[in-house]
Amino acid sequence: MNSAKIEYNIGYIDEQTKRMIRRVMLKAVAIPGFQVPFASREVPLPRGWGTGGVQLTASLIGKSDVLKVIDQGSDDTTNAVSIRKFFHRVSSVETTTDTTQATLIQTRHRIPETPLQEGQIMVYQVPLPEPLRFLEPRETETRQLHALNEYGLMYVKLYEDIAKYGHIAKTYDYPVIVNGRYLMAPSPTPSFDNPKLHQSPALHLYGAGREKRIYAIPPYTDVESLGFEDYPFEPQAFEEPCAICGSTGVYLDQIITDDKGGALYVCSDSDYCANKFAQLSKEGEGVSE
Amino acid sequence: MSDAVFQAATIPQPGFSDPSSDSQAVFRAILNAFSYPGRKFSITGPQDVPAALGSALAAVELTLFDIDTAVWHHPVLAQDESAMGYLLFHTGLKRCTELADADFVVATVDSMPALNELRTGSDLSPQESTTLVLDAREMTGAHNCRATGPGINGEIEFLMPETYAEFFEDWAANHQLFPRGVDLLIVDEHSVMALPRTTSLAIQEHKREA
Repeated sequence: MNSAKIEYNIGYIDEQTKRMIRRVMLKAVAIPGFQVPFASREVPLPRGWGTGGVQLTASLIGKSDVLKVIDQGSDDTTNAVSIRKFFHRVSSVETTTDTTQATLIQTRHRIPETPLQEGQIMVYQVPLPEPLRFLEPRETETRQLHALNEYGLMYVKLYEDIAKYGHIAKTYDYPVIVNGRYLMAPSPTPSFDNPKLHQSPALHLYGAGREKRIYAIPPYTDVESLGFEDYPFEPQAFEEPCAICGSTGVYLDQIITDDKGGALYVCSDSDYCANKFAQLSKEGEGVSE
Repeated sequence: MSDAVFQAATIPQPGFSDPSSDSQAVFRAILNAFSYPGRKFSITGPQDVPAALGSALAAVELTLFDIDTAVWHHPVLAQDESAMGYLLFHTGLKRCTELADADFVVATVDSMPALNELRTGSDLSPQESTTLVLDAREMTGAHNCRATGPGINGEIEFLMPETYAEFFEDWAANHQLFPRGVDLLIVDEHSVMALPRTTSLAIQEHKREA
């Protein structure tokens, strides 16, 4: 049986929903770090799989955009490939894996290693937008705490980490203060990526579909990761270079190679790694000539 | 229903030729304007629009407004039948006559209400504030300003259209209210520029005539 090709509205969702999300985005940019409620819609993937990010991208995307989607830094994992295909299908935009070519980058928990530029937009898929949620389960209370700029709870949590473990034991979703005012969860990005948010030239938009919140870090905004004078914030660091491209100062994934504890450490950012490796091979050829 | 409704004069001009793509492009310019305060971003609106609106302002209204937005229009626009007919037909926006009820206030440099008359939201819900859309096509003068704040790399100089006398004092107070406060979107013939509540303004000494 032949079925006619369905024609979708650009970006899948309807224009009225887009306008609602767009107005919320403007408020989010005007109030950096504040979680603006929005009327989250159904999209053709389950809640918790990036519906917030998908709704943001759907409301942003247009003909002149080039879309990159990453999942844990990688362009070629299931979630990234599926979302990239989805937007190619419903908006016919060009897609890429190259960070420098992309105008829109939807991500689940990494910021690319290649520095971002002005005009680029990062879209994050956020599972839990409220940084205080595990310390205070009631939404009515956490909203009050934000309104009153009362973040003692979070400092106590970090202090208890130090008392128990001797260091701040949070390695992802590390809380930040945005523009000196709002406590914000940078979504579960590794704390390694936190410094990239500070005074970034790009716009960072966070969408939590299930929790119905959108928030943002505008470009060139102060983003301070919490810490104490004697126990300052320390992003994760890696001792070894990447096993493929030899890069240092990048975020590495562990790949188990056997059942005897052997492991390989490689770049989590697949585009960055491939570029570095291509560069290395070129230089290698240059030497042999 | 009387036949008068269908008279040629009451049929509004067309809106965007491609509503989805055109409004997306305009929205991205507005989002860029909010992200990079003090910079102008050009927009393309429909060409055949009521004169009182102008192409760029029409584009902004078609992009942002619908049945969920209460909009206050300055008296000249509110009394212009062709303009209001056009906006109501294409957006279905809710007209409001009280500034305090408005999600958006559309005003010219002459009819701009004082910032402290507008809704600033609450500490719990600072997003429930009014956004002021300033039609700056006919500005009488402009102040050379220096701005700092989120979205600005260091500082930026730009020309702020002259509005009412106490604007800069009121803006400073508005900025101090953060996270509450009013956001400002300035629309001229072909571009938009925004000053979100986070932007701090310092007025330079001299004043240029436009």
